[in-house]
Amino acid sequence: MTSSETQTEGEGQDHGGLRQRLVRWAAGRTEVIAAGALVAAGWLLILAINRWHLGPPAVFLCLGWVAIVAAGRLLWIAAMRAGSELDGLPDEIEPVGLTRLGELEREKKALLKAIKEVEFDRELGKMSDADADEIVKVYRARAIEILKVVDSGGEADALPDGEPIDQVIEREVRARLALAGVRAKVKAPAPAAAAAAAGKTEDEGASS
Amino acid sequence: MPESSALSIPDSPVAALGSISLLAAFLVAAYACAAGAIGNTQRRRRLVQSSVTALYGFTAIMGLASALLIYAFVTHDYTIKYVAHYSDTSMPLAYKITAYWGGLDGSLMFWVSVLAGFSAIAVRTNAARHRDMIGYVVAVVMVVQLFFLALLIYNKNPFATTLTAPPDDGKGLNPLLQNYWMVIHPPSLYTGYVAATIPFAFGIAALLSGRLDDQWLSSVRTWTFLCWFFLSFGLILGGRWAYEELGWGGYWAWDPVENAGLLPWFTCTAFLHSCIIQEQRGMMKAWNLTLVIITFLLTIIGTGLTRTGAVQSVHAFGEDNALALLFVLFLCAILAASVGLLLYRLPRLRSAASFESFISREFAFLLNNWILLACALFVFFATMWPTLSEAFIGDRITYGPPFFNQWMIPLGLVLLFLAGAAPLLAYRRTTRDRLFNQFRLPLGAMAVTIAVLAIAVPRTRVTTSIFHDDLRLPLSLVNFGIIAFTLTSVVQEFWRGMQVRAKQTGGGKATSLIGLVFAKRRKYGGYVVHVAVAIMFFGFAGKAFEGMKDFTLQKPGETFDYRGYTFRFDGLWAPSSRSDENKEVAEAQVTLMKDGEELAIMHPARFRYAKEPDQPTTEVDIVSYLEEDVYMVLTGFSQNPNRSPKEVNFRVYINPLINWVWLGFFFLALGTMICLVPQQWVDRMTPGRKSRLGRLGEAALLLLVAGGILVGSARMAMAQPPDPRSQLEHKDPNQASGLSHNQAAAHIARPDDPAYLAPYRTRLMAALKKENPGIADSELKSKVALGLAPVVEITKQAMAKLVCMCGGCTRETVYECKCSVAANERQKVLAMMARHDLLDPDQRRAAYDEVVAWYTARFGGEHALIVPEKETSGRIGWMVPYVMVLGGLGLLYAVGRRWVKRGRQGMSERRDAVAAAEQLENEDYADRLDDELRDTD
Repeated sequence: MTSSETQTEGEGQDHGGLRQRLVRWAAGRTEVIAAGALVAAGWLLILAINRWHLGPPAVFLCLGWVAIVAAGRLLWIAAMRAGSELDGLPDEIEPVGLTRLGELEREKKALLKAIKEVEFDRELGKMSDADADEIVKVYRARAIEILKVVDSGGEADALPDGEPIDQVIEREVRARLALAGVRAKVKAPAPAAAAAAAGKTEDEGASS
Repeated sequence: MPESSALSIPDSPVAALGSISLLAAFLVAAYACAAGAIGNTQRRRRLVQSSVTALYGFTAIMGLASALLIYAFVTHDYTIKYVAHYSDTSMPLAYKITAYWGGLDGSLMFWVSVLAGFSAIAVRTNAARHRDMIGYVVAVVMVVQLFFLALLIYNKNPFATTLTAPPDDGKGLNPLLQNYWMVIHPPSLYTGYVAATIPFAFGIAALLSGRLDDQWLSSVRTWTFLCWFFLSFGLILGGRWAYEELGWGGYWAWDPVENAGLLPWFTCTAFLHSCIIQEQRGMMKAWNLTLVIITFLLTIIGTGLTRTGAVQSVHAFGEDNALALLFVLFLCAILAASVGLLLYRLPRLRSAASFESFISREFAFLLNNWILLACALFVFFATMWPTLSEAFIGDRITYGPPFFNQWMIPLGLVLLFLAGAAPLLAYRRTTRDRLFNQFRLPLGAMAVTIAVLAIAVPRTRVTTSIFHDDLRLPLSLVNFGIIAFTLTSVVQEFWRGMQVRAKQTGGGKATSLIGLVFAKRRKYGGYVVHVAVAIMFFGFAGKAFEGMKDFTLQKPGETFDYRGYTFRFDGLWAPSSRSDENKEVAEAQVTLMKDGEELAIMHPARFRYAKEPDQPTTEVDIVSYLEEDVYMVLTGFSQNPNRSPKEVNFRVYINPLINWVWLGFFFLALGTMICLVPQQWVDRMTPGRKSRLGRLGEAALLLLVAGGILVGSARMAMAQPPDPRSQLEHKDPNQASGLSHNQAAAHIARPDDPAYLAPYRTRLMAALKKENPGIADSELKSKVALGLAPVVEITKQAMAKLVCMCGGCTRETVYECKCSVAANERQKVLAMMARHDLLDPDQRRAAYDEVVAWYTARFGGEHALIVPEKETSGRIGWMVPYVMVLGGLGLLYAVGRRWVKRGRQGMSERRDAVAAAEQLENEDYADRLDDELRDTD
């Protein structure tokens, strides 16, 4: 095989590959191409009627023609969508909400931003250290709770009436407090006792 | 069936296709509404997708209808009545296109088209993340569209054709609308109105679906900003148009149609603030939904007011009782459905968090909301009172600008103060020492400003009445003081924020400042908007110092002086290069000088349009400086038999600080743009991204581009009309031809008329000379002027109390109106006042009362007064604002106390939660959390 034959064969393969790609591209966009051709044909006709003068009347007629083609296509698709499966997916709408990791992630980001905002206000001198610490601790507890839920697979209980995620997390915190046997009014424990209580909480949480 | 119904298919192909497109749009809208509602209710994905696609199809159909109507305008298709009424062959192309929304029918179709486009974009960008309620969003939008389409189809079809032979030429657009501001003012205002529908649709969808978290709020945030921005833009453009076109020297007259655009602006502003509280603290959920509903309802009310004749205004399209009834029914239906849904979901909207202190940012935002709502209620009441008073007590009582200003100025000043104070407060509560630390510098700036101005500029000490005629305050001083407070507060926020960020990131000052603004765009963009508002209030303050004077001149070369300026009359002619087939022009040339130096050449003119010969327009000329505008109007002229000018009349306004109002809008646009910068753009500028320019360079480039766009738009906003000198073909005034007689009356019978004041002048001079025989002439002159001032003032007040009943002005007073009817009334007022000894204070009061009583009796009611008298049938209307504002404040205090008490009770529970939280915190998770916090900006 000579080099020129090789070269010719290579070029032939390139053209064939390009043609195939074009054919594949066009096959997936038949309707769009047809609509585009229809629009172009309409524009040519409009320009011909206007003696090839592109003035304001011709421009608005062309825009009107695009609107007609677009409306026709969209209404056809709307009719098809109502009547039949177009994408093979089930008809039931998957609920957006609490079973989704994305929603938990969003809530966590909101809490992180809130913590940063509180820290910023503290640095600006608007908030006292005591107030800032208090708020940050509660936000941190909630954020940690989300991390735990996410680590466990993100399958928080989905409620049919769409209870907001922050209230669900709040309930989670209270539920774990109840499991840990922490009473409503807690006095500041001694460090050793606090460590023992924390260890007990983790154990009971792991076993539940 | 009305002849203008779309169900009668017209002969013209364009009209036929247009009518058919409206009918098709109605059917598609009905389908999309039903499919969306059923799809989400039954959780049927295909049906919801079908409704979304049908919405896109609906948008395309309305695009077709719009293209057809504009095509009809540009091809002069006078078989269509709407085209024949609002355009003619001689109109420039731009005005032919803008004539689309120049009339009632077209403006309704424009409303539908813009809403179609917006809803298509909103649904496209939110369909995936709101798949369980997007069908409801489509349904709500389509309900609104169905209402407007029903109006169009049944009675207001813009494609209706003439029954007889079409005219050879159209009537043409109102000359007052043939102005480049009118190209952009209505679309901007409509955009603002229409954009309010999107948050409403999402809010109702959230109530219908039960998805009551903050998701819908974050989705509509951008639309709310757009709504607010375009309403602001539209209002400012309207003000600028009025300033340039109407020739009365002002930009806001509390006209009912202007007020209709302001009402949703108040509630939208309130919503923008209160949604921050919901996002930060999870509070005010029900309140935010209420605001979204009220804002939408006010846009419908505003749309209805201008189109039904419920209020009288030069902006209004006309009177239509049937249309008014339809709007009322639609409003009632929307209100009933919205309130019903809100009450149904109310238990789920209650928040665990509550207010803990009156001195907190939350409470400041709540106070801001209440005052904005009070402003909206007051303006609504005062705007609707003429209609309500006519219906209930048989007398149409109207409130003019003085009544509005008496209430709105102090409420506005409180809002301006809050704009500076709220950022200084902390969330939840601000302790006393923190309060002092944050407020000392801004309050100090306020005190210094007031003290310096009070001493250096005595004019600022003049008192103005607020809330009540007998309650007077030096409002200018207070205004400037609060401006200083707000600006200092914002600068302090930027400065301290920059320092904190520099400390946190280790960066330089400039980098930290830019990083701070982009990391907290909504906060700092909002601060820029607060600066804008402060600047605009600085501009508003100039109104207290404005001046107006009428002059009459006869020969070129004559001069007159006013407020340090000298005006030299150079001539009057009709330049043929400015006149055209559309209009005839009479133009004067006046040289503006100061201290002998020529500053500018002014060309005030009068246009008389061929299609509207009885409605000549004044074309003012304005010379602008940062500290004031010199505004000149050619009010009229008369000619000698050889057509040379015999007498030329001018009115000159000096408007201090007015350009700061327009400049303030520039900052408002900048602040809004900062708030709207997408997160993706900011993410691209985060650390780690390598670019040729670097982060600071990219941010600077972004700001440069944004600034360039804004400067361009600011230049357009400040642009003067094209310099007529470039088109001027000077003609010898003695040979001026084609000038129509244009007698002016503005200068006749003014309060400072020399003949009117002559007896008082003589008496004062005699008395002063008797008291001090050796008095110098200059001192005599100044004392006489001082003595005459109360006479001039009471006469001016009397004239300014009476509304000019000529029917051609925008409810101007007899003092302001330039017409001959007002001149006649002024002469009568002078004659009545002269019967009293006006040097006696009691006699001045008696003369004033006599004039008011005479005018009221002559025109059969207090509608002839700019502000009704409290002692007569205006009493009810006068009492209502007091009841509203005081009642609202009382309610706010009572409710606030309950919330704060509940919040403080919650504090002790939270302390327990904090203690428990400490026990639950696990070290591994704590470390992970700290890592994520480090990556969060």
